[in-house]
Amino acid sequence: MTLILRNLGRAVPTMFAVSIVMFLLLFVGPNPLQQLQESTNLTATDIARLTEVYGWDKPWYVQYGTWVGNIAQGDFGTSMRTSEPALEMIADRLPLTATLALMSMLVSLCIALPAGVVLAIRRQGKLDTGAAFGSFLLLSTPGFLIAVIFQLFAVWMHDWSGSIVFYTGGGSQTGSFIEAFQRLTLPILTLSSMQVVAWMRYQRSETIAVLEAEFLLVARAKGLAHRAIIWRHALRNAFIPIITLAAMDLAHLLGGTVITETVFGLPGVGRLLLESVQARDVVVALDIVVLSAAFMVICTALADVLQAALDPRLREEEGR
Amino acid sequence: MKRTIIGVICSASILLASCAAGGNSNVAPIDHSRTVIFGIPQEPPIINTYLANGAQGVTQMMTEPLHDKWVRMDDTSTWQPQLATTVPSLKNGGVTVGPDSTTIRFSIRQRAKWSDNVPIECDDLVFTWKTIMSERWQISTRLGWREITSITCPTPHKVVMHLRGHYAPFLSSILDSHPLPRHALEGRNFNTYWNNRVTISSGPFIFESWKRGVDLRMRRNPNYWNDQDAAPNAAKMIVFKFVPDASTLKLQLRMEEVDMVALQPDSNLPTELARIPGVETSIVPGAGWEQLTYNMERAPTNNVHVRRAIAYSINRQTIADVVLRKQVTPLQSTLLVSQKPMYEPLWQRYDYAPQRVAQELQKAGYRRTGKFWTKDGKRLTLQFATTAGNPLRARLAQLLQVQLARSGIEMQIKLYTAEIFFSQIITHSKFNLSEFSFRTISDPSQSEIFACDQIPRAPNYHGKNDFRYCNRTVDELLRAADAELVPEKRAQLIMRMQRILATDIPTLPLYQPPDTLAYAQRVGGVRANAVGLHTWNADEWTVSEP
Repeated sequence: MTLILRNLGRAVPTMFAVSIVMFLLLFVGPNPLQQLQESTNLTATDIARLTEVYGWDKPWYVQYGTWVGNIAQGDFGTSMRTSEPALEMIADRLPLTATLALMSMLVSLCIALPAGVVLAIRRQGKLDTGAAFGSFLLLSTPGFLIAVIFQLFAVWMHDWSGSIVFYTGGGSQTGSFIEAFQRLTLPILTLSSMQVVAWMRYQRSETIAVLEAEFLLVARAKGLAHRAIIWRHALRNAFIPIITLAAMDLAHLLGGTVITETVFGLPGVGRLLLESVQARDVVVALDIVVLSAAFMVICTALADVLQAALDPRLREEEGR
Repeated sequence: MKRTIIGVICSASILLASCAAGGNSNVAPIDHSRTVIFGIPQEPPIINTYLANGAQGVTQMMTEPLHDKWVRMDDTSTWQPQLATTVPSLKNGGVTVGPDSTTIRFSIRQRAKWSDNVPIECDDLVFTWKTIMSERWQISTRLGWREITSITCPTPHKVVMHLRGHYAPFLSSILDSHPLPRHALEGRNFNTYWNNRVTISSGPFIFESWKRGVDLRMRRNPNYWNDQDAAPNAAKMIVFKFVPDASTLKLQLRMEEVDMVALQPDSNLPTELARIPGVETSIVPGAGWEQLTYNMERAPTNNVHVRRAIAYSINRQTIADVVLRKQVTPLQSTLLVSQKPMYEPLWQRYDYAPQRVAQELQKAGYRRTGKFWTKDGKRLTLQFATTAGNPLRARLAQLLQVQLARSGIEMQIKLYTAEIFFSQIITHSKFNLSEFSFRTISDPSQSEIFACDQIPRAPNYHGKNDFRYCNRTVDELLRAADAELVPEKRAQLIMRMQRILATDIPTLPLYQPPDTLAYAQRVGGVRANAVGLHTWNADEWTVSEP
């Protein structure tokens, strides 16, 4: 409870600071209507009139004050582009982004945990060396390039099989589970590949640290089998840090969805944020940022709670 | 405890996966047999093309199949009547002029009707005009409509429109538009009611659904008034699929996930598209012109000899060949090639002629000292600005820099985001040379670009005359041309104006960016349109299966 309250106490000033910075970043700059001169028939008179209509002539603190006042009353505002309630727009796209983030986290954990353990057990061997090389290669490959590689794989599968196995992009309206699998598998693997290496290396370090702990020396002295030492004693302790790390990384993962959703054309919150920033739709962009900051606070609190739940030693310390 | 936690996480994930998969599970899968799937990188914020947020070209292109217009321009750049029975003109008596007024008369087709079977009548045009002129609505542009003083309806199908003064661009500004249904929209909040759906159509298709971020669907209008000549295999549905990444769109074309894509110009685009089996490509000059803007209020480009020297230093043919791999040819006018008879290749005189660079610069008082030209000890240096994030423009800028350097002119390149570029750089005169494009409406009027009162000035800096060009004779000719309703006389006025422009050279036209449309061979009836509306004849599209 103390942890939760402490995190909540930090949340309000954090979100306030984030919102001001984001607002200034979005606001500082010229009237976004001006660039419509090149692509539309809007005349100078039209732009002058619409500037007033949309309030781009008001000072930044007036616009920010209006937004804060609305948020305080639970009104997250209306999109300047679509005139739709901003919260509805975000809520509509949230399930997809949440699915991408959670599923990629699961996939990453399923790969990183056992791989990290195996590499720790066989450290300094050929497998460990090869994995280190592969890790650096993957870490130095940008996320959008990984996405494109997966898309090319989808094209190859199509050419080889004569039908669509995985889609290269686009959302779906049908709700079919099979179609969702075809559309989301590659984006999930893309997101997962951006974090699995880091987690695998971390798990490897943690496992090595646990394998060298004194309590395992006692287990060996007692004559326990190697497999029992690893699976029954070592791993229970080695897995704890990475699960809490994953909980905290979940918030960062949402940021990674921007690239993945854009390349794969998925209608998620990440893509909505990018489009809102590009179009200077201040209300929607700010709402997403503030909600993300709130989510980050929740994830941090969750990580603290999980850690305490999984590690009795931390519960005892809190009790003191 | 640990097992419980792990179990909760797994269950939540499966639940979320089901939610994401669920979505709008009441929407039927697409029947591909008579459907055209059009991949688009940019999703419009709203689909009401009369409002400011619906003013982008992509919105107009997407909603074109929903709306018939009074008149429209076909693929030969000829005005055709659509809802109107004739294209009003002086010749056919549809246009008459008074000392200080213009009257436009036309009839509406008797069988024209909305998708709910209500006839399209003169009242709808009156309602459209009043809606556009109402201060309550966030209308994008009132260009042309503000010239209307009254519209009367002697019968439900006859229109008499009175304009103040003589206004020549009435076809493109007023009649090249779709009517709004009075019976469906009167009393509604026009700022929101048609933003996410078009409830009533006048065109060959009707709105079905729009899932933001995914697709917008429209199906054949069963009550379309003009469908008697529809082919047996005419397209029954059009799906606009939103995929922001251009590379992904090309892959989707290859994978047959989409049937058509319209892409931004790129050097390698035709080659890439040619490699996709079963795909046709249409490349036509687009409805705009890339050009170099000279700042005529800032030295050294305020000197006509310097401007000419710069023009002679630039090999526009090489630019077209290198930047766009021969997809385009140099544009020799500020009008488009399709805008005949006004189009004259007057800028041909500025074709690459390095031997004339020296003559012009000497007339401007420069001397060649070493690599560069100088005057009063100062090197001839140009500040060049253009938009960032556009690979073609970046390549163009580098090419210009090299070509000018060969002629002894130094050019410093600065790239800006589009917002900063259009509202702070070119409007505030912070450049000598800049490069961007003008989008052209179908009418040849260029008052918005070259008139003296369109120069951006403090405090608002509104206006498109970024050249800061002011020639009173040109101003008079622009005004006279906008008011001249006899086409032959108007053409003469415009050509006179063009000749003065070519002499003063406030701009150096480069090329018309190509409009590239790629479509699967199963889609028939596709014809490119000079104003870039790829869906202008969607009623003629057919779908064949192999």
